[in-house]
Amino acid sequence: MTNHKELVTQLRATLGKLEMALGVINDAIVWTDHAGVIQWCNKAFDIIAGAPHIQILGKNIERILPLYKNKIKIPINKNFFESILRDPSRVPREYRLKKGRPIRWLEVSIRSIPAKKENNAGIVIVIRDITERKQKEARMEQQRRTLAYQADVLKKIRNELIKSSADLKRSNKDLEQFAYAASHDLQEPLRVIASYIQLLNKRYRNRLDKDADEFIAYAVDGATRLQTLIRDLLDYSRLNTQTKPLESVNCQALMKKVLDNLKTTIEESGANITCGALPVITADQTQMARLFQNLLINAIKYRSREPLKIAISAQKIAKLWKFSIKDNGIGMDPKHLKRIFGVFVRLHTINEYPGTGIGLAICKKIIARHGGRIWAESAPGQGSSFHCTIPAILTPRRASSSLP
Amino acid sequence: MKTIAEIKNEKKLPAVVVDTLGTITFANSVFVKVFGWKIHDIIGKPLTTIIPKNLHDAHQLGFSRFLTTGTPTLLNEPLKLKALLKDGTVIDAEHFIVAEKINNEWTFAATIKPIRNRIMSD
Ligand SMILES: Nc1ncnc2c1ncn2[C@@H]1O[C@H](COP(=O)(O)OP(=O)(O)OP(=O)(O)O)[C@@H](O)[C@H]1O
Ligand SMILES: [Mg+2]
Repeated sequence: MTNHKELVTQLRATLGKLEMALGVINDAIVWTDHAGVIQWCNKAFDIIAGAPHIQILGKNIERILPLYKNKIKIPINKNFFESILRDPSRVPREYRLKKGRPIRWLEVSIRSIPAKKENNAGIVIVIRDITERKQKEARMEQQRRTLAYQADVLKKIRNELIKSSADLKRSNKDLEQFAYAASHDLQEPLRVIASYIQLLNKRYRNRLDKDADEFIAYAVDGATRLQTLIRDLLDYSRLNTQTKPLESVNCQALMKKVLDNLKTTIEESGANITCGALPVITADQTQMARLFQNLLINAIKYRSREPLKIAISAQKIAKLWKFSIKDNGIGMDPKHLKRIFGVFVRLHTINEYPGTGIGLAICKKIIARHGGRIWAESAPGQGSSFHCTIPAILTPRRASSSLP
Repeated sequence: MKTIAEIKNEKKLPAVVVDTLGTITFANSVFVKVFGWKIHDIIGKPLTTIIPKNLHDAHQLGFSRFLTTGTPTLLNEPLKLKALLKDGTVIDAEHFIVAEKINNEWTFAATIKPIRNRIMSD
């Protein structure tokens, strides 16, 4: 009798510890008979079931914890348990639990425990709450979808941009062709007008009255200016139509030639010109000469009373060469710095400084064709700096193509 | 709060007393009448005699846990639980269980008040 009591006490202690251990684990454990009637369960199961222990025991698990696989309820009925007995796979399955409470995701492993005595056989169900993991997965999926959607939108925008940029290029080209055709076709009648007015001027000056002399003089002047304008416009239009393939250009040598050509003008202006080392680049030699010349002529033309100083330099920045021409001339209001690159844009009247306002527009077009950028820095009385960039390496394919 | 002595004196409701091993040491006359046992048959039997089979495991685990920790979870309040009659009938009954340490050993006593509807056992 005492032995029996000792043994029972020992077993009780063991069972008590086991029960406590089962109580502290996070996974829910339920033991049911083959019909699904709950015989015991641990504390974690109480929490998932949302009911006190006492209300769970002896009930069928299907009533306590209806499991759903997506939207289909998995009936834990006799058939269900029979299928488990036939196929005692331990692969956990995921279920959705919705019982008037926020949705919980459960990973359920079910295993049948055979026993010699039918009464002791049963089914062990281990349930892990994987709601947090599921939510995280859902959030990641959501993020992935958002990203995919954004990528899609970006792609569409990009395609639109490509399309409109193509449209723009086309209409630019049309416009250019028009300008070219117009200026070209205007030249001939204008030449006729100009020559006859000049003839008139030659033959009839001082033979008519004073007014007539004056009118003829104005007409001569106007026709000459119009001829210059038309010539410049034609020049500008031809920049893209009459191009030479890009080649290796020694800018140092080219600049020397340009300065030689401008020798008289430079000497007259008394300019002091310094020139740093200039690189060899891939470019259209004639156009580069034109670019340098236009910028130099401007620097000389828009000089102040100060002795004129012009500094020419080049600097390598990443994959670009940056050319700068800096003067100490009259400068200009920074608000005009963008405008001056437009066709026929001038900040002065023809009487103050001669010119048609095409020089910088030509520069801009040349630089654009070479895939670079041109801009100016200036302030009134502070001199001006004109900078432009040209890619240091042009691939042969790109080099031979003419950009609009 | 009822005491074990009070429960032993219970005249209207079935009442039992159980020792620390889970052996029935006392049953009153109402219990005998309701559950269908003869008094000398029930004394000395394990408490599981009057608990439906599918709740035995849960009972043993809970009972052992209380003995190990001394922390009650089901004591001193009315509880609706199943009970097993001698003829195999399972009934719903309102249990009121108390525990006392007597001679340094836990002793338990309960009143078991049947609730109307009887359920056939499986
Ligand atoms: N170095 C400079 N200093 C000050 N102002 C300048 C300078 N270069 C250009 N500008 C201003 O920018 C305007 C546009 O220059 P752009 O070279 O295009 O035309 P232009 O010199 O007037 O005429 P063109 O060069 O066609 O004979 C000029 O009228 C002038 O006001
Ligand atoms: Mg100019």
